Amino acid sequence: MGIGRAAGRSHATTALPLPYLAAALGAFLVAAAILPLLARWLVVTNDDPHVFALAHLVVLGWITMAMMGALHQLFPVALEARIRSPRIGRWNFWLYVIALSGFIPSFFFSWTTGMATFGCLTVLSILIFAANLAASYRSVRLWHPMAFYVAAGLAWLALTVGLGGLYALDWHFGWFQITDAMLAAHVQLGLAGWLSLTLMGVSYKLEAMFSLAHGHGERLALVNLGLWNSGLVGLAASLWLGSGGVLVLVFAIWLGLSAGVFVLDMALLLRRRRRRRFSLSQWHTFVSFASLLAAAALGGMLVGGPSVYRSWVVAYGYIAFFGWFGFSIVGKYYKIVPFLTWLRRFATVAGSAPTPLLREMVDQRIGWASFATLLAGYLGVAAGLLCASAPAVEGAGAFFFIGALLFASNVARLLRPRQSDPAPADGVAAEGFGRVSGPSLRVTQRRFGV
Amino acid sequence: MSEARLQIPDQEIAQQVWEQLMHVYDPEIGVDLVNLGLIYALEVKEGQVRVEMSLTTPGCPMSDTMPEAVERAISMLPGVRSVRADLVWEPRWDPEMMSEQAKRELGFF
Repeated sequence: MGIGRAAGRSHATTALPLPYLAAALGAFLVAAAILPLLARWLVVTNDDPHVFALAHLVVLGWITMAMMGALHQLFPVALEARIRSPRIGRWNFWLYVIALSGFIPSFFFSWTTGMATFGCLTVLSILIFAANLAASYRSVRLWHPMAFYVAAGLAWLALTVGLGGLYALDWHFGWFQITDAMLAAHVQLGLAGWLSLTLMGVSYKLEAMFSLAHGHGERLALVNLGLWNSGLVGLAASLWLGSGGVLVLVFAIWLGLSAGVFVLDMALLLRRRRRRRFSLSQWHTFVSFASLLAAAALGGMLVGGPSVYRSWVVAYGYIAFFGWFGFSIVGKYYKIVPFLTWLRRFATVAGSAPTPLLREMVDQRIGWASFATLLAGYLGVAAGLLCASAPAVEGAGAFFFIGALLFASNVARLLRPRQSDPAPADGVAAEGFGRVSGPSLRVTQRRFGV
Repeated sequence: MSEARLQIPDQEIAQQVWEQLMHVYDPEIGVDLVNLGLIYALEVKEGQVRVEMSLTTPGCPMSDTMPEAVERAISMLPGVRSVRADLVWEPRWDPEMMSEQAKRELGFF
C-alpha cells in the first residue's frame, strides 16, 4: 500500500540536526552560567580575552551551532531540497565541537598557539558546513526568499570566519596591528551578515507557516535583502578602510532602517495570520524583533555619539546576541525540537496509533515560567550593562541562568526516550488513533462534525 | 483480504474514509485534515482508494509524513484493497478552505 517510506526519511531528517541542537543548548547553558561571573569585566570593557571567549562561546557555540542544526533540518523541507552530503554534516559536527572545545578556552586563557591552531580548525569546520549547504542549492526546487537570505548569510559567514582566522593567526604571529575598527568589521560581518540574514530568512518561512499567514507578498523581503546587504558592504568597507565616522554612521543608520523595514514586514505578515492566538514560541520571537530594533538604535548611538561607556559596546553585543538571536532561537526550539521528536517517535505510526500535537509535547507552564524568567533576567542584564553596574549584571544574569535551566529542562524532557511510545494498530480501525493529549498518551477524541 | 471485505460497497468505504481522516491531525495546527480542507479528492473503485491531498504550505516539514499517515489510516479500514495518497499543490491551499468549525477552533472569528 505504499506505506513505510517515512521510517528511513524521518531518521535521516532527525539524525543530522539533533546533535547540533543539543550541543547548542549545552553552550547556551554554559554561556548563561558564565555571564554573571564575568560581570566585573563586562561592565568595564569589551576588549578583554574573557569577554572575547564569552562572545565566541555565544556566537559560535550557541547561536551558530543552533543555526547549523536548524538549517540541516529546515533547508531540505522549506526549500524542497536535499543536503548535498548528510555524511559530511554528521562528521563535521564532531570537528566543530573539537575545534570549539579548544578555541574558546584558548581565548579565555589567552593561549595564542591554541587560538591559532583551534581557530584554524574552527574556520575549516565552518567553511565545510558553508560549502556543503552551498552545494545543496543545486537541488532547491522552491525559491522562497529564505533561500536568498541564507545564501547571502553563507557568503558573509565565509568572509567573517576568514577574517577571524586571519586575526587568530595574527594574534600568534604578530603580522599586523588589529585595530578596533578591524575587529568591529569582523563583528558586524558575523552579526549583520551571517546571523541576521539567516535568522531573517528563516523567520519569513517559519512565522508565515506557524501563524497560517497566507498571501503576504515577497517583494519587500527581497528589496530589503538588497538594502541590508548594500548597507553592510558599506559599513564593513568603511570600518575596514578607516573611512571615518560619518560614513560609518551613514551605513549604521542605513542598516537600522533596513532592520525597521524587516520588523515592519514581519508585522504586515502577521496581520494576515489566521491563527489568532500567539504561541509561546512567537512571544519569544517578539522579544527578538524588539531587540533587533533596540540593537540597531544602540548601534547608531555608539557610532554617532561623542563618547560612550565601553560597557555600552558590550550592551550592544548582549542585546543583539541574547535578545535578537537568543530569544528567537529559544522560541524556535519549542517548534523544531518537538517536531524532530515527533518525527522520530511518531512518524511511522501516525494514522494508525495515538500521536500528540507538537504543543502538547512541550510543558507550557515551564515554558512560560522560563520565558518570564529569561525576559526579566535579559532586561536586567541589559540595564546593568548600560548603567555599568556589575551587581545588577550579576543578579539579573543569575536570574537569566535560572530561566535557561528551566528552558533546558523543558527541551531535555522532549529528547529523553519514553517507554510509552505507541505501536501501530494491527489491521483494525482503532478508535482514537488521531491524536492524544499529554504525556500519558490518553486519547482525547475531538471531532468537528462536518 | 477476506471475501467479506471485498463486498463492501465503494460508497460505504468512501464514507468510512472521510470519517477516518477526521482522526488524522496536523500535529502542528491541531486540526484534522478533513476540517483543514487538505483532502482535495477521494476516489474509491472496487476497494482501491486514491486520495488527493495538500498541505498548508509548500515546503511543509510534514510533506513526507502526512500522506503516509493518511495511507496508514485508510489501509486499516475493512474493504480497502489498496490505498494511494498523492500530494498535490494545485490549487494552492488557502485558510478559507477550512471548515467553519476549524476556523472557530483557530480563532478566526
